Amino acid sequence: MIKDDKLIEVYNRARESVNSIVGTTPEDYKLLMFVDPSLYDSVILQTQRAGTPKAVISSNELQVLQGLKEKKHVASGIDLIYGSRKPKIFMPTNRMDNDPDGKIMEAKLVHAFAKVLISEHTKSKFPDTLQQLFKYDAIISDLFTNNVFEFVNERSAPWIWQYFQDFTASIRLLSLYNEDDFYVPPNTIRSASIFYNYLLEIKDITKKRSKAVNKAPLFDLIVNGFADIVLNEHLRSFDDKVRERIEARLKANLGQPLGTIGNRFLREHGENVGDIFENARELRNDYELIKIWNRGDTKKELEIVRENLNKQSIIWHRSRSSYWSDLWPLRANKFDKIANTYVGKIQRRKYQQFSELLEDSALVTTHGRVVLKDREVAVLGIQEDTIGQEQLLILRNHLQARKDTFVTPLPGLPDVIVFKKFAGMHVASYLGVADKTTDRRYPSSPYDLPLIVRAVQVTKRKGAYKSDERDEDGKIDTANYEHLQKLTEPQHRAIRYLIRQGEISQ
Amino acid sequence: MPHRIFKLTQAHYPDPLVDYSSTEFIMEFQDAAQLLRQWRNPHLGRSSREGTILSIAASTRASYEAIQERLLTTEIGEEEEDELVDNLRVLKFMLDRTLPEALELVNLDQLLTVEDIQEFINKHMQLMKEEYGRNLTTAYDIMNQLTEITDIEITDKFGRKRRISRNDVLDEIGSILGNILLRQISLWPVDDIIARPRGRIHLKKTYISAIKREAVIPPERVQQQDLRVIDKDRLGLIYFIVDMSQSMGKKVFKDGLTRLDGALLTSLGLFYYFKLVNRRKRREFDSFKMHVIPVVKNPYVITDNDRFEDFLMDAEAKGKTRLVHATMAAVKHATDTYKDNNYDVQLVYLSDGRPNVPYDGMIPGIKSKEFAKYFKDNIDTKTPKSAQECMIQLNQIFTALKNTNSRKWTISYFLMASSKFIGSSLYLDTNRMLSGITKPILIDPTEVDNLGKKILKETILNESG
Repeated sequence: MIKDDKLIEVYNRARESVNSIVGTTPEDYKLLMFVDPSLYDSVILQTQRAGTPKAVISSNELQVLQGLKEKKHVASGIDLIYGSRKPKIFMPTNRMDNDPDGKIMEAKLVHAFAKVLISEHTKSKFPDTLQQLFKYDAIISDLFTNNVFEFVNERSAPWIWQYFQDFTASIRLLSLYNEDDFYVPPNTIRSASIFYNYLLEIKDITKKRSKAVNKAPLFDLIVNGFADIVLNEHLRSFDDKVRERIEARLKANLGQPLGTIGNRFLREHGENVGDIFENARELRNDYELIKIWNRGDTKKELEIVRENLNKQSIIWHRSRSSYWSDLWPLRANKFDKIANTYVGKIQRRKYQQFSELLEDSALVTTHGRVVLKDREVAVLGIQEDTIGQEQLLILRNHLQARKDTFVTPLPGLPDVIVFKKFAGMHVASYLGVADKTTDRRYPSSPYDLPLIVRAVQVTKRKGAYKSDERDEDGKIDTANYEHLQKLTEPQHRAIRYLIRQGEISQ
Repeated sequence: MPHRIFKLTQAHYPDPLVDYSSTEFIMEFQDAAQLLRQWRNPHLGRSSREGTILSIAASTRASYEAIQERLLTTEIGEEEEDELVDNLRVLKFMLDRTLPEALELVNLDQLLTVEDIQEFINKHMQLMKEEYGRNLTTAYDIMNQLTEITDIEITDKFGRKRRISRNDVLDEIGSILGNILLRQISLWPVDDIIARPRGRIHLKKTYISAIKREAVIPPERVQQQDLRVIDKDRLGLIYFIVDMSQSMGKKVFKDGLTRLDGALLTSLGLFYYFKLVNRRKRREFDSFKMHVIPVVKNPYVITDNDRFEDFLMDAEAKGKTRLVHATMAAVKHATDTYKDNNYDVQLVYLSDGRPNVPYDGMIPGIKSKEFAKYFKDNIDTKTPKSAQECMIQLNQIFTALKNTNSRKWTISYFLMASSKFIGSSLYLDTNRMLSGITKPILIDPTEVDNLGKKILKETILNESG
């Protein structure tokens, strides 16, 4: 371990401060300092997307995230805290730069310790769930590396790395929404090879993981709110001049919507910080925190919080020309999302668990199947980067497995239509295999399939789906669209267009 | 108790963003090459093209969200902050407009290779960057530089010659004109309104209700309950009233450009813009219906878009200025043809100023005595009597239209003249005529020097580069 006197001094000051404010300090945690700031960026991106710092992410998402790193669009100012029962604080070592007296690092540590403290002591199941998730993801990750290494050696097929990675990440996402039932291999196949054994094992663990996620209580407001209270209390001990200087540097810690909103509610749960801490420990989820007010009162109170934020937030921005036109609206928009959507949903519908929130705005939905003469086309809606084109290929391979008794996970191939929204555009894409005539003796890798992709913008516009190819004949009518559900009219039209396109190119 | 601090390097904690599909992991070069070949196989047709657009869309969306997060949490300097805000605007534009258009072109087989797509997007992005950039005057400058709209031959830096049709140019100009309108809009319309209702806000009615509630003028704040929204299904009728009298044939601008050219140029630009908007709006019918009314002896209405375009391309200047007649024709056409009040009407005038043939028949509304007095008091005015009469008539019509409750009439008045004109009696008269209705806009193609050339040069550079 590298010895760093200044860091240790600041660290001890922060612990003392927390002790004097709350009356106790956290004990069972780790502070992980990354020497390489770019490594820290990776960890932030990965944890934010996949949930834990150990989760395996798909190659599609990896490319997206790496693009963000290259373009320097990472929010590296965030202090990453994994609030399980044994919490972990992640930070890059360069946080100590430009901070001669260590006051800023001290404030950041106080903020982190407050989160750690509540995670250690709360009666809620939330930290336990995070602990479980971490464990499951660690197991998956180990299984992944060991098995694939063996398998690559055995078959000398390097594509397997990516194949397993994509499969694991895709299954993780789909099982969250209970859409993974297309892949049900019999248990007897386990002994056939490492490959099948791995797939079955992974399926099992992701199922458990999804259950844990779904049962997790909503807890963000409590953690962030409590940390906000402690940090503000800590800052109050400085005189005005020093405080202003420190506050201006705490962009990621102060003024974040979850923190300020949670703070407002928590202050109703006790007189001083000690009381609040005692009461906050008893709260099991955010619903218990915010049920003290009805919707009308909440709106009034949050309006005041929003106005204060409006006055305060200019200190975190350097740009004067775009502050009022763009930066404040951005902040306000984020605040409103939490204040109206998150708090609103919990208050109106009494949500307590994460699963309720997930179901409410599902990222993955199924819309049934289109039945053609010789095959089926599954229709899905996926609003996530985990599953892209290459991952769809894998999914499709396994969709076949549902129909026949399980033979092989390699090429089976019903086609897929996927709806995806990207801000201003809503795209329906079709993924199919080009040749039906050859008897499907495909080359060594599932990526070598001769596939077709068609994509079209979903729109109400008249004539949007017209093309020369379309009007050739009435082949379309053989398709059976009866098994589709929960679709809008333009989506239906997009499906028909894509099916026709698929027929022509076959 | 510093024993809880751990300093980590790559050796302790491997980078989680490991790309197993990267060539570092695929040891055999052959395998990597094969994978790549499969993905990029030209026999696979459009697969890779559509795949390209989808993956660009995914990474754009990710950037769009990540930048917002970075702006709100990470300490950055002024320069980077401005840059990121600009970036955000460009990405939004890309997601809302560029990528859907690219996808459409792929489906029509107009973009054939991945390189085509990239080029198309780059071209768009460059234009956007110029427009959305910090210096917002750039777009105006581009607009202000057009000298010619006829076919242009340009030699690029490699000595290759190229002819570009005016359709190409005008398409570009149309999109630029339209984007000027979008440019200064904030990323999120947020003020004291918490959630914005669907549809466009009707500002006037909103202010009126705020005033009623607060009983103060001006109202201190606008609240949610005051918001009045324009009916979403309203459609627009646009009438271009193009002055084609002899005086418009005068060559007043540099390079022998006549006033008529200026007028036609402006209307063409607007025409292409509305066409673009129609194309982009996702509804089953066109939101804007366009008409042109030439100011000739017997004004007639052209409704067909193709004839419209032809007409604007080949117009000739002759005869007198029968603005009032043309206006009456437009009003008659709008009220007779579109009886449904869902249509709002926009009258766009492109003229050099003085109408000179008064209208004989009935005119709606009441004659403004004040305006008549204005001419009377102004004894040494050089405005001829006929022009005075016409302007009084126009003022009468405009006021009557403004006061109509059943549908909304809007008037825009473009004067083909340089900004020196602003103190002249013609401008003052026109301004007086339009007071309370709208403001005349001076359009001067001379200040606008090298506009066309610049656009063309860029087009060529992009195409050849």
